[in-house]
Amino acid sequence: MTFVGLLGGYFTLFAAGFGVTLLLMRTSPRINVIECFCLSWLLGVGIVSLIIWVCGLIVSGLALQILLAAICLMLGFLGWRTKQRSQIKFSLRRPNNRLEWILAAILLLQLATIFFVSLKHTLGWDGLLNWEIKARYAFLNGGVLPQSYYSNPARAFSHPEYPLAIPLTELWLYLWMGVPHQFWIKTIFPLFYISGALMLALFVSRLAGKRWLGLLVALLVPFVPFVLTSPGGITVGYVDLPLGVFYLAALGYLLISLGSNSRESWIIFAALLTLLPWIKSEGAILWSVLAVLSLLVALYQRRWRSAILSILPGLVLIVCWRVYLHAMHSVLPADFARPTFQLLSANIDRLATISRIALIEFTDTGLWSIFWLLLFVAIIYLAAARSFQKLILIVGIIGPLLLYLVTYIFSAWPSYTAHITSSLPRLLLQLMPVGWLAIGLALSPPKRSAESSAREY
Amino acid sequence: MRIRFYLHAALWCALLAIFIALSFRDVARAVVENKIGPINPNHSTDAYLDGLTHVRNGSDLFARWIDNLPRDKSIAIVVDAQSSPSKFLGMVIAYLSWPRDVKTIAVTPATYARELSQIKESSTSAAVFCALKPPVWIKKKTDFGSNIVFVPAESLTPPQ
Repeated sequence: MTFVGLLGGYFTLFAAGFGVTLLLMRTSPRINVIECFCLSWLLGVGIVSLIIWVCGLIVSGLALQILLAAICLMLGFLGWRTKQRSQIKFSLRRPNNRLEWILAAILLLQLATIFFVSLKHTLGWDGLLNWEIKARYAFLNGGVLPQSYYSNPARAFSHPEYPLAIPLTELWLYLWMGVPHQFWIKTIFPLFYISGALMLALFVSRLAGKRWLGLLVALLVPFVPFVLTSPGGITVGYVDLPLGVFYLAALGYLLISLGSNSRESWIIFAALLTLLPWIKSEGAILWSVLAVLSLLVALYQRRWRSAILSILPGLVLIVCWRVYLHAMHSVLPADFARPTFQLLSANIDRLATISRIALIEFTDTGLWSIFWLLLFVAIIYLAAARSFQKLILIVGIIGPLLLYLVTYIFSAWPSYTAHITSSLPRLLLQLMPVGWLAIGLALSPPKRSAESSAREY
Repeated sequence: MRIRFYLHAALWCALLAIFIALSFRDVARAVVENKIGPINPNHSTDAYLDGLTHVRNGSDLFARWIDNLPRDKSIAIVVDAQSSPSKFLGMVIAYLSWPRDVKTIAVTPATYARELSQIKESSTSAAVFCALKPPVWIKKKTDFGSNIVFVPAESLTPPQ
């Protein structure tokens, strides 16, 4: 029964995401089936967790589950009806040649293997004590995290201030299974990986105009040892790679929109941008970088209204979450001091040490192989291409990286170097998927423009 | 133009070959090591308790112990401030203690006796010592595997 419940939870979550995806893409004549699957998962996670949070303010228990299931099914139905009315067609282009068939087959096998490998591990420290703990407590409290959780200093180790996208997704599956199940809940994490790998393949295919290249780049991702072998990777229930997947998807659609001026790509970009700060606290930094980039694109394309409309929902979400934490008297983290110019000038000498530790991290082949060298070469290639689209991608990688490093100037840990070494690898993991997008584009000798090939794949 | 293409291909082939060669062994090991299971709701906490205290089905056993404690009092979780395993065990205990109120007390050798003396019997039902030996004056205690000791709050008071 537990497994049947799990399937029911996934079905409703995908139904909601599928419905929202079709509603957002209603102006598109064709929808790629793989793209639809990936977006259904990402948007399903976002929409279900947001609705649980909002509805949880009013109802709880079985009523919450019934209400949310009805909303999920209704969204799925609305999306399907819109698809029928707009005569949108699903498409799945078959591989063009033997090379693409072979790469696609290996990729499928690889994704199945990663799903299997993910089930072999326990939830790691953060996976259990920062994320799953919230889902478990909410489940034991009728589907709503109680105020006492937020304000209890003894449970501050679990970071009550972290946003709830992943815990409430886990909660949704728990409500369906009828038990907080630490084994089956691990299945959500490889789904993020699979969505990320497939979206990466799609983006590289569309932006570079070569599908074999997209498949090849997606195949290379798990050879970054961190993904499968280290605490923080996809196998232990951490949220850094899922956040990286959301960031990749948002930036990818911004680039496609820039290349093709497509309205639906911009709308999907806006939806994914909104969800970034809801996945993890660092998502607010990634959100701010993308907000600036979307304004730059708006300046280039003269679409100010769209840019502002895409930034606003995320801003509202960030403010609402802050207000909610304040209302819950949440224990606030003490990892960083309030940034002031005085503190900046007092700690500016940390920059040399921060840079040195970052360099040590980039060259740690045990965690990264030579991924950062590949990315460095790719960035040189992209910069040499002198295209606005590639410039946006470069800023999308270097911007958050610099911001992450600069935040350690304000670290409040007794040893800020210990703070860097314990958290920087996971922050870098969030940027790895977009790093692969850059490598994929650099691998391709420029021949065809994104405009001509964007909708082909 | 053709030479440029060959240089491009050669550079990336070399870089990607090094990339895969450096990581292949680690990734292959990650794929073959460990096995799936057991498929149970406390999969992760049981594994941690088994590893740290050598108790099987530790999550269920702990839940049964906690059910016998008064609901209106908190549980004191005593951990060694200088030991990561002790602090981690304390967090697992806090995780499993829900919905009971918990108070985590991180002690050092210098503060141990003072911190324990501040635990009030009126508001605390029991103390859980995580990878930490309780003081010698405590006679009434229950071992939970090799690294956890339960002590009723009334036994925490040192003899006068």
